[in-house]
Amino acid sequence: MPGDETLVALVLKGDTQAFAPLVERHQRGVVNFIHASVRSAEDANDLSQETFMRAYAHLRTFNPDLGKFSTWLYQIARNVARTHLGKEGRRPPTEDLYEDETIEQRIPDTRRDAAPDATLIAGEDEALVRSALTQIPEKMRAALALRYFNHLEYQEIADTMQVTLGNVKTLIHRGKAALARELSVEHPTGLLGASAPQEIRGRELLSL
Amino acid sequence: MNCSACSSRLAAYRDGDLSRADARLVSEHLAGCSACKALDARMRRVDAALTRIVLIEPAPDFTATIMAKIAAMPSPARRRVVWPWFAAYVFATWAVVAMLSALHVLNLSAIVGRIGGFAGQAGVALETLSRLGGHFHVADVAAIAVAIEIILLAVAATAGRKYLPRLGSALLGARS
Repeated sequence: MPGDETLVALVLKGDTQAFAPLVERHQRGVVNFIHASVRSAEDANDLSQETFMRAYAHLRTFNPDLGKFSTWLYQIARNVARTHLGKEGRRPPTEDLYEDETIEQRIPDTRRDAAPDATLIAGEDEALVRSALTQIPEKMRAALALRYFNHLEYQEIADTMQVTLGNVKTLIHRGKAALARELSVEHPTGLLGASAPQEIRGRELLSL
Repeated sequence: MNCSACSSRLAAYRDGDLSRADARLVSEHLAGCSACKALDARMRRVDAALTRIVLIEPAPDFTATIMAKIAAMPSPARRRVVWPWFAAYVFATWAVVAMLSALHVLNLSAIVGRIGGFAGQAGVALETLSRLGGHFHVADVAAIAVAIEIILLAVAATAGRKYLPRLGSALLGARS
């Protein structure tokens, strides 16, 4: 199977069909990267489609000498997500409950007797982690998503986000701290136990 | 090692990025400090929570939808200049000009004369302007230039505020 850059060159020579394997190869990564920022999977799909359309329309501006195709693609995905969030207002809207659903059903019961191992974040709490992820600063979220969802190396994250390697490590560390704080605020008794120490909050405020 | 130094090294410690000496200092501090131990545990739980998140699958018709949409878009293929055609175009243009001159439809010498006349007039105008400029002090001219610059910037800023964001998104704005 030809590499990304070879396929891009084929598309630029007029072989439109060569774009299909590029979409196949990166769709899952892009959808999940964007899903870290937007709560609805449907929106994530739509914004990913937009990402690929933009990539196609501007394919001539991709310069393989400056980096990998995937790096360039994630840059576009990040911009699409940011533009979307900007349109919606900074915070994503809270999810609506279904007609016959109560808030108690939505929030998992994490009392000590309900969850035998309170230190463990169970599968049903994934929604809480995802929700917390949308609440932390965009830069930290992007770094975390590229690391945990896209399994990029630190250097690749640095290239994608156009920051230094040191910045990436700091972003990931602070992102995790912010996430820990979000989770303990949303869920004071469960998940992560008592709220995060004051020290983290102070460090958190320092922007990069 | 104090708590601040320890917490700033925790990530590197877990990534195995610390020197052996630093790693030992961190592990010694962790053994004796319950606050840092709790922080370390919390960070590891966040790590585990993120690792456990189940990735979603793209819509089944994802690729098909995109391929259908881009079929209607202009191809991003580079437009190549076909040199023989370009040469033929230049040659044909000159041939037509030569033919029209030979048939006296196009009076080349009159055109050249007119261009020369225009250049002469422009020269006179420039000379008048430079003489006029001699009457002004440099400071006056600079003040007028700055005023014009400010007006132009104001106009550009007003127009730019409306159109720049759109232009920015059109240009992808890949830079943050």
